[in-house]
Amino acid sequence: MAAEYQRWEFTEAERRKFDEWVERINFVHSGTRHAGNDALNWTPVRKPLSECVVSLFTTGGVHHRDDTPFDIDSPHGDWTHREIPTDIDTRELAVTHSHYSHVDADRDVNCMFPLDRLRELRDAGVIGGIAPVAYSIMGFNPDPEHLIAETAPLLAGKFRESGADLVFMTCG
Amino acid sequence: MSVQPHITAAVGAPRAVTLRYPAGNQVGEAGKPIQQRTILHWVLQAAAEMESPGTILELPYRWRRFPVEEEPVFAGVSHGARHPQTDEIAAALDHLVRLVAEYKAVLEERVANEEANPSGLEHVPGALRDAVARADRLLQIVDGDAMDQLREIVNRITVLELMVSGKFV
Repeated sequence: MAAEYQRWEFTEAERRKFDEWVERINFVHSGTRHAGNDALNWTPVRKPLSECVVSLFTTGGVHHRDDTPFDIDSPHGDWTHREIPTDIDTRELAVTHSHYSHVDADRDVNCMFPLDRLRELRDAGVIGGIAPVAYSIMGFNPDPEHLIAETAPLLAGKFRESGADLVFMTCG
Repeated sequence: MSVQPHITAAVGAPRAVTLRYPAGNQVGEAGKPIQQRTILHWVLQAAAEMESPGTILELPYRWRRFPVEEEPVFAGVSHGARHPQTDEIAAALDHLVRLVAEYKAVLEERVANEEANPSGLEHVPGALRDAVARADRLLQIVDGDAMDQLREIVNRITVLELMVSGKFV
């Protein structure tokens, strides 16, 4: 299976692409701050995939249609999170995010929050199970201070408590 | 998963799989469960097998629908494709990819035939293998480099137009 992959390299050209992106973001949004990890935080996977409990996380602004939508009007973004029970009917999910095109996700949320597909992989024995709750945020946060100090540690703890061995993460 | 690996690498993600699809379609197209399931399966398998911190792997799939439809979300109304030429270029490239892939398969069959029933001419096996390698390179150019350039143009133009209209991502 791994033969189909290529290793992606962070070349000079890709670094320039990142610098250009930061420049563009700073031009359009005030109060933007870049914050990267000081070190790579590595946790090895200790089980075969067929025994792993998997959960989902997205920064794509997914939430239950009756839940409070994310704040897309604030210039400072929204660092709150939403819980999504993984036994939910995915037709009850909605997307609130104004910084990427979710035309397709509005029709079929699985193209960025693949809960139905995860169930099929569980039923086929590819994964061991699905954690009871998945989590979502809305990724537009020019200054990630609150995300780093509050949201990330809170959700990391919740994922751990849920028994997830792996979390499949997508961005908006 | 990431569709902007230069950002993922710069922030120091411990492991990632990247795919040359648009944001919002990282697991594939709407209403395409087999495509979505394949991508999800591969990414989970890769996550379970990666052993080096900071690894970013790339899946070989390429997005075929152009342009990326940004406008309806931001304006509430779809004005259709702003650059219809990109649809035609994409369709032509797609056709070319299929033709080259078919031809490469024909050449590979010639190599197999030569191995099974050697012509006796010394240079033939090497020449045939060289032709297969060149067909493979041609495929990479059309399916990889050319498609990437087109996708990059479409993405950048979309962003520029959103900036101009004050609806920038």
